[in-house]
Amino acid sequence: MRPPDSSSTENSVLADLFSRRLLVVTGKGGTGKTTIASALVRRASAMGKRVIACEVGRDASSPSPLLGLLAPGRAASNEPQTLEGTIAHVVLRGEDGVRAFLRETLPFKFMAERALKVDAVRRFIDAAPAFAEMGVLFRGMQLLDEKRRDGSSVYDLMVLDAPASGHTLAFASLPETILKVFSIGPIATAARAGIELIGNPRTTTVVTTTLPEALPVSEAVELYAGLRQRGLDVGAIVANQLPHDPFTPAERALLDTVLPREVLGRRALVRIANANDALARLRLLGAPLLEVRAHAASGAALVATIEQGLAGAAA
Amino acid sequence: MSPKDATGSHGNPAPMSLGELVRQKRVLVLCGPGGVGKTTTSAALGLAGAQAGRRVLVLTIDPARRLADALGLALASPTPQPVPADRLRALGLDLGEGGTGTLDAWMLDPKVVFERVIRVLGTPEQADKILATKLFSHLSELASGMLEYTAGEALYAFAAEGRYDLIVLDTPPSRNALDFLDAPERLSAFLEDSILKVFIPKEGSRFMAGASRLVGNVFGRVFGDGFMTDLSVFFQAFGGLFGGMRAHSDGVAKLLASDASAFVLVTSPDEDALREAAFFQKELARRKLPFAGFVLNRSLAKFAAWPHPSEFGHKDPAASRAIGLLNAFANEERAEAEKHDRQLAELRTLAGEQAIAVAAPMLLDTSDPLAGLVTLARELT
Repeated sequence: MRPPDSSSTENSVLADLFSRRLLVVTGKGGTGKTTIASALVRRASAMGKRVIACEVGRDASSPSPLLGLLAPGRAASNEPQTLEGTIAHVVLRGEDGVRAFLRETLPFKFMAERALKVDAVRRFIDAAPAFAEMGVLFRGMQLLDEKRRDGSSVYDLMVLDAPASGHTLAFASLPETILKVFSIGPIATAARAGIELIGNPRTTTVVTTTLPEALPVSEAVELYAGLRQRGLDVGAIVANQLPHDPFTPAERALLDTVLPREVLGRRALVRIANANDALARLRLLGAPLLEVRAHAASGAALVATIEQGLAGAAA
Repeated sequence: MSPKDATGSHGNPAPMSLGELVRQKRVLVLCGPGGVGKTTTSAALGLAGAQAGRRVLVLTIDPARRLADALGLALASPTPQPVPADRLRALGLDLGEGGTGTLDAWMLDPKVVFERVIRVLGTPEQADKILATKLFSHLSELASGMLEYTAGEALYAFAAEGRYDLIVLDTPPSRNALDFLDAPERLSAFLEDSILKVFIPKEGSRFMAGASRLVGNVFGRVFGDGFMTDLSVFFQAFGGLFGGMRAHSDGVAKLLASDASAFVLVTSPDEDALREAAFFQKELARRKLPFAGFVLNRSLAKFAAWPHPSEFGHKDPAASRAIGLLNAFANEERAEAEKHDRQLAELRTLAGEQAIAVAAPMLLDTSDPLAGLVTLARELT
């Protein structure tokens, strides 16, 4: 296996990713999506970007795993907060977006507050996730539009730790869906702006995470096809938790002949073989591939290790 | 511990094994966090049921479609598909006495199920009206809990039909699996009379009328008139269907809470997954749903007894060098296997006297997914 993190391709892939405005990180549960998102946030900041890390929350008590990795112990907020240097964090809540949207749409701002206080409206929004999700998108767009006094954007880059992959596909096609139901009116206008943001590869790209095993890779291939089909750019596929491989292929073949099937260490050999197959399949997709090794560390320490790995070529 | 209290809510003296569960229950619900192999476990238990001679349906609401992968079925289909009996026999399975066992699988299609509900409950005219609205064609995207609600409906329909002896339900990852239990309520919040009031102003308290006007105003302005018309057609046609939907939901809730059903929590040796499984167990208890046990999936628990490569000293220097490299991995795996043994013991304690905890080994050979399921089915039951 080619040793990961060893060429300058990683760096040009990262520079390309960070040249966009919105970077959506997605993948199946358990593939290290949030860890990779955190490492990308740190790397983008190290490469001079003002970056805002986002995760979606339903209410104040929802867990915020991304914040937990970036600034352990810090309380989450639905207003942007600076974590350190050029890294900010925010929890995107559908309700905030809906409120902002209503304030823009209704003739009087107080009507938005009044409307949101009506129980039936709250329940309607709660029961219709498309609205909550449009709210998330709207809120995200609002933050991306924020400007400094000199007219430059407050945030160069937004990194969104998106919900798991099946959901992301639905989320990605949400503006289109919305547009089919509401072809005119303020919602349609917002949906069109969303399509413009998400569908434009210069502004938005998706990073998908996967594990180097047969089934996860099948899912990654399916996700890739789904994203492309919806017109989304896939800036990179991250093959995460690649096993350490000190063997030559000849040595692995030799071990198969001299050792029984049931032997300690067998799982490692199987993992290495699976990872090689997985990488070969992922390369066929043609999207840039970022290879990230398995590390013993966890939490914020793991994020730091992976970020260093991603930065490897620069050193 | 003292002898069991005979007045306990569930009087069962000994918890059932997974083998007994697939033979005796009508519904098995598998819950657990994402990425622990829930779908594979569901398929394996379904297979075990078929082997016991039962007619089994594995119903997945996991959009990841892993089950189809594992069973070698086409991805989307409007009805359950059988896993060909000759494929199963080719793997050395006998399908119970007289070969009565069958295994069908279906990846739930919310639209298919919901359309059927509407056709069953409504008049043909009502159904046609509803199905023609834009709102219906995008309902799964617009209304939360559609997937989960329709899973309940499908369960209701298949259970009522009597075509299957056992239905194994694979739920989405646990946070959503909770949604599955709440789905009927949440969907009715979207569809039910209370919301209707908002759109179709009726007489009521002065406050309600005021609120309705405001809401109507807001929605009219935000959504535009076309949508409002669509919406009112949809809700008016829907009016009479709520009673039937509610009856189905109650039926599902009763079935799930009954002795005919059992909930199995799948977890992996990952600490977060274990925490979530424990959380889920409490949640089931709170809802008084029948918890049957934990499956510690992808565990190395049995590997601890495997020999160490260092026991296979070799004269060939190349082989002995390779074995030397493998030793470090073997040490890691042994330590991990021992940790998984401890985790299994902890799960057994957590399960208590009424439930079980079983380890399912990590499958090393993934070349033939169906053969892998057969192995897994054997290990689990």
